[in-house]
Amino acid sequence: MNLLCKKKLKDLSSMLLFITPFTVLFIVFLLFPLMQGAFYSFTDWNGISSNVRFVGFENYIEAFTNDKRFVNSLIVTGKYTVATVVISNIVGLCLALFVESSGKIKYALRTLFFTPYIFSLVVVGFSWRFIYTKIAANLYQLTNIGFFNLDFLGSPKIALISVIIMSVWHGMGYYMLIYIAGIQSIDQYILEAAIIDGASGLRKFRYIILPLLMPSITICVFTCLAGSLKIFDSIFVLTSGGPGYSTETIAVNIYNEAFGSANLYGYGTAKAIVLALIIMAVSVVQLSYFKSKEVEA
Amino acid sequence: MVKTAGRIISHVFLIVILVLYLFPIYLVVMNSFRPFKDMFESYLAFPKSLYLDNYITAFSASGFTRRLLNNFILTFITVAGVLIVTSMAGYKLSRVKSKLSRFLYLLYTVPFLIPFYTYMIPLVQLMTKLKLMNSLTGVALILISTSSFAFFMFHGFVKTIPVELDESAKIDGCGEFSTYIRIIVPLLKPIISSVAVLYAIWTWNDFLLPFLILNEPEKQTVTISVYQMIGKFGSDWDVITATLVLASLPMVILYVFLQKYVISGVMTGAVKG
Repeated sequence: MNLLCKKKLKDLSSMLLFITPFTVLFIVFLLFPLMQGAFYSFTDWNGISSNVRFVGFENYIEAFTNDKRFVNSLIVTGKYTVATVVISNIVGLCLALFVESSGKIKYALRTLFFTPYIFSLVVVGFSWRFIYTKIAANLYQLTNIGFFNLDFLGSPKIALISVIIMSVWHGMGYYMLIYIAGIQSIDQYILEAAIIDGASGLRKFRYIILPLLMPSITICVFTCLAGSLKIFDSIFVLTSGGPGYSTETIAVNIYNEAFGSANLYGYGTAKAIVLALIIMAVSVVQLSYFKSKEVEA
Repeated sequence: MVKTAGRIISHVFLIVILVLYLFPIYLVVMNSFRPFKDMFESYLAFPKSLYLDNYITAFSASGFTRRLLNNFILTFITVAGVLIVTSMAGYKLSRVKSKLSRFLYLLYTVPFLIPFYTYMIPLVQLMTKLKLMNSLTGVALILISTSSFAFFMFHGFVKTIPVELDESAKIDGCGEFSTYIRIIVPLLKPIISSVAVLYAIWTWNDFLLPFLILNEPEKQTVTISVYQMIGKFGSDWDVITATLVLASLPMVILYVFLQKYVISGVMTGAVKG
């Protein structure tokens, strides 16, 4: 008994040796400020004054009842997320299927299609600002096609679409790679059996490939959902939320209000907690729904 | 016959899509080699000659070289730190099956779900208290604290290494730590390369965190330089495009040489995650 106890203690101490560096950093720089943030969301803290008053759920109630700009940012984020997730995944999956069946050039293709992902979102934001303002005007002069004369960043109706195009362009290669990994993990025998059984291209895709790709779809949609709900950098650079508030997502709204105009730190943190809760709720629903659709090969 | 024709059509289709897809990069790079007045006439025309003045202006902009160096330092510290702490934690938590290890595993998923700005304000306060404001090491420590993706990559990969290896090392008189260093780390090499290049890219490109923590101009990174161009160069797109290229060049070079590891990192990360 004593010996067993000693062994357990020794195991625990060796485990601590390995996990302490990461865990300590995790607690100090992540969990601790996070808890503090959660606390501040119930106060009227402005970041400077030491006089912090506890206000209960007031910040949360304020955000949903009195703050039209925040409610607007929820809607903008919703629209942006749905569009980006759907387009990135459909295009990423189609591209993965095409690239994977393209023989020898597939390695070069996947490397090249992934390229935009290696650029910083700030660089991407600037590049697209250049394209939407300068290149598009030039293309209009050359071709006279009305599309290029659109006010890509100046019109509240179009700006969000311009942002979505940029995001899909930047992230799509990432999803394509995950789908390629999924396609490669499908057992060739299953596909051959399907062909022998007379499954045509489209049926093979619908009834064999798609169900077997469900794990990849789960991962891609999860990553894209969380990333889109959190979107900040590229919008900050491309439009900073404008024109008006037409591209102001939750993150940009929090930044603009906490650092831009007033130092409403307690209030800003409350809105950030709301966003965190939305991300968690959406992720849990998405993961459990998509997992239920996965099949065993 | 039909099959080869079909293949040619699909190749042509894919290459057309690829060219359109990479066209924005081409436009930015090409315009960075032209004086502004030439750009103004046509942003689409090919440069008349190799014109490097934009690059000279961009490079000599105050502190650009210093910031490039800062980026290298930040990226190096972060990548080294991430590799050390997450491979250790990933290895051990993958081997030990206990309530504590399961709890920690779940706890480490938090960064995937919590957006950074939920705690950025208290974090800035904390950094001020710890005297880590304007410190590249400080930024690196924060980045390491959120490196759950690397942890899950190692955690997943260690599962594929037989436990018998650990046990036989133990019998041969290897201590816990030297088993990790001598037996496990060499086997982790492929995943180490992938994690290293992915974190190099992510750290190099990170914006909001360095922007909040690094206020002194000589401590800032290249991405912050790029952001600050809005005010500095207005709409001098010739200098701006050159700066965009310069800021991205190190990662492009990295990608050209190590793309194998970037690609396999993303692909295995998806399966293991």
